[in-house]
Amino acid sequence: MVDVGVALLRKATPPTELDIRRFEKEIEVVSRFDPVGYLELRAYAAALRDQEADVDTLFERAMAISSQRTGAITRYLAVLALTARTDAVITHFRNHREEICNDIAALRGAQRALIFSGWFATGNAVGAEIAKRGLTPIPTHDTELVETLISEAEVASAVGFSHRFLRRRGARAKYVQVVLIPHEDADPSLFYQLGVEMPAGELAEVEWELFGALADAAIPAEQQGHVRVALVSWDCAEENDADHAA
Amino acid sequence: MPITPHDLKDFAERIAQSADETQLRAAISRGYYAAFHAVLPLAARLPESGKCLAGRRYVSHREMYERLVEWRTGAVHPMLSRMIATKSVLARAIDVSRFAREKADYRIEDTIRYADAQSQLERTALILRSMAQLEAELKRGDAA
Repeated sequence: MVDVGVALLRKATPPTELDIRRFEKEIEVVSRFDPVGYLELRAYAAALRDQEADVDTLFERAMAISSQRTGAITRYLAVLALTARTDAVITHFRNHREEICNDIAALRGAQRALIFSGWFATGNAVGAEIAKRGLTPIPTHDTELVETLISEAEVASAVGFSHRFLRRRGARAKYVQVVLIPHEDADPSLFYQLGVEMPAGELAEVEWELFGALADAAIPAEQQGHVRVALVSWDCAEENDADHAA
Repeated sequence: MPITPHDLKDFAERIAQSADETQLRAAISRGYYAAFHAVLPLAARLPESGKCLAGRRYVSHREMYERLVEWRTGAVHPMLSRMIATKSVLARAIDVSRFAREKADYRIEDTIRYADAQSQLERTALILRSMAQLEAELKRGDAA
């Protein structure tokens, strides 16, 4: 049932009232045999309604009493990323870093959520932890080369702003990919591409508006061209080989 | 025989119909050059940016972006100084188009999909349309 909640949060367009009510009704069954799981599912329902305070309260309670605390921590992180709460993503990660680092599945989830939210340097550090354990992390695409040159907080600010812009437009990024773009006569830039399930023509118009909104937002790293955010049409029928979905 | 930015865009659109990734990459690259050449006549009339390398006599890719950002249009046309919103969007659009081109040309280990090419070409179309609107507005201003 968590999968249903995640699927609804990741839907290309916001879930309808009917979708949310159906989900709320279905999770009632869980309350009888899994009270902790029920708390988490209610948190998902609250996330669908953008009720941030309820999301936080319910996940905090679930984490406090769950026998699978690390799983609850990771799922909370994913919900924060999917709902474009960029600052909460890094705060939650830092608060629970030790527990996350003791669990490979949690590390993988954390890296996805961090990169999705624009916290590229922290995401790379988590990737290094994954690699130390002999597993393959999400590739850095050379972004580690600018960790000391570009403010991670400003990058996350630009990426988070773009996620929230999309949500206000009734759209969602399905995945995020970041690569380093070198320049001959200037420091390199980070190129963020947010994959959105929307026809390319329609999405280009949204991107055009996003460029204007980013200009108004005046985020220094974005204004100076150290980070660029683009929208890419995402066709779910096409395979995504670099899955940075939260 | 000379060609126009629209010729480049049309060519890019034709090869973007392919399922072959090499052609998709080429379409993204040609799409950028269509946008670059559409903006170049205006950028070439703007004064050198503060970041322009000394002695450089041509408008480099980076310099085009810098000139759009600085937007010192006084000597070009009085109406341009009011188009701050247009230039902010245009500067980002041309920069993103260039980054997409660099990714397609240099990051051959990454996968480029059909939708990546379509996104780039729709972006190119908007840049060309924006430049056409800008020129039409300037002409209307001159006629008035």
